[in-house]
Amino acid sequence: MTWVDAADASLPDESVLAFEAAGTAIALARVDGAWHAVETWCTHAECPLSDGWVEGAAIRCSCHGSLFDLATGEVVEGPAEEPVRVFPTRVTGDRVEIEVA
Amino acid sequence: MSAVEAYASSVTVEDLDRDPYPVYARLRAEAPVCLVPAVGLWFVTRWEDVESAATRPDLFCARVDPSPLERTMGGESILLLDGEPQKRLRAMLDPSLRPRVVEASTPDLIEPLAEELLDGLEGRGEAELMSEYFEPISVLGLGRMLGLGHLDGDTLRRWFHGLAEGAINFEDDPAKWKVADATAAEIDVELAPVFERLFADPDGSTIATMLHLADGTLEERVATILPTLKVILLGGMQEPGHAAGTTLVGLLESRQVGAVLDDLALVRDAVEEGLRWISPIGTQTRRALVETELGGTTVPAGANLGLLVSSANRDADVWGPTADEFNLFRPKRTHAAFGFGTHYCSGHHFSRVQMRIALTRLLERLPGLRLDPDRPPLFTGWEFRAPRHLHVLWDA
Repeated sequence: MTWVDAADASLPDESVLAFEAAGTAIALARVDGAWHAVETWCTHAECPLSDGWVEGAAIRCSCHGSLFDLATGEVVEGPAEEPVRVFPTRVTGDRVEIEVA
Repeated sequence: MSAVEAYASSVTVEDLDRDPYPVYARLRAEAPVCLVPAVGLWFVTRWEDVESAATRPDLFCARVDPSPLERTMGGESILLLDGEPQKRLRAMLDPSLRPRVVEASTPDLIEPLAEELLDGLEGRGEAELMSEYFEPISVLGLGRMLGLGHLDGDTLRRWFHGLAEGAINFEDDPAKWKVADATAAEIDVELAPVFERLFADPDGSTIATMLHLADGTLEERVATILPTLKVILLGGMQEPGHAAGTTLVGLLESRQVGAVLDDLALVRDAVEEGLRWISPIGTQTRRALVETELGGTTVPAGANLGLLVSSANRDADVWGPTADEFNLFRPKRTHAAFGFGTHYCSGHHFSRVQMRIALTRLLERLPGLRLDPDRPPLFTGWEFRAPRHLHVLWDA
């Protein structure tokens, strides 16, 4: 596993960014100062969650409205049924890093 | 007849073409489900009712009767089917348009087109962006995606303008039928050799993929996909260019273009707001299968409904008191421009990526972009609403 430099950690809460690491497309989001990374493709119809937005501690898909818990990847609201993959994050200095396989 | 029913009876196609939003606002307030005789449709104008009717195919089927769309496209397209037949067509159409596939393929199709058109504009300092930029990107981009890369932009633009005349001819105007029928016949002739070539030698394009996934002889496969293909030639060709033009007008008139120039990542939000503010396709049509209550009104069995996504996208109950204004910073939520449920637009992501690229490159390459004060943009249309012209100036 490797830590990959991803983004400026000082971006405000509710920021949602698209990021690609090791061939995996990732949606990166900040909630209450904490950064979360999930695989971007919604498990319902493969819309990118990086086009979505933060609601509470979850990310909303902009296409059909599925809602995923950012910390666990679990579905909070359908139509999606399967969770999305989550990746560990850490802040080093002023940068967010993601751990990818 | 109540005052609002009398008002709805007095509404003309010309009123709607000029500006439908005041009509929608009054209907939302006083008669949210109301027959508008000029177009033969019950207008459904509130978000809640549009969403509920669009997601109840057991009560409201997609096939209307009479259907100007069916007549124009020469048969049942994906827009007029429900249940298994619709699922089968979607299963042919969706593989080449899945967002993940589009993210990988579309930028390479669209970026060179945008750059080439901008090379031609640079140094001029003025342009009419609908015909010189947004529509060419829209038609040539989709043309390449479909497998029609050999056709020129003027032909493709003429096709969608021609099909549009028929698709919304609810008023049954013979002059409009003449244009639409001639266009449909020309498309049939032009596409026949394309079908043969792509069936024999598939290239991963949308047409090749659909032909491959359909059943039967080539002739049977073509019959299955052709009406749907014409829907795409109309909606897919026309709408991304229209919505990109609308978004630019919103940005320039609201003066939010400065914020976007500072952070081009905001183009994404601007496009979504443009789609909400003036939705390029205004209506989804449905037919009531049984007598049904909708929004407090009893709709008779057999009634044709116009579910006005354009009006739902201005509903103050959902979007607040500033619903009529373009504001890319409004709280995010899903808009209705791509529809709801099983008829949610197959091309949504392709069009989004295309609009984002077109606007981003434009803003990067034309400094000081502004509306031409002597020739303000002119919006027309209710079912297909867009700037007919969009004259701009920049520092060349």
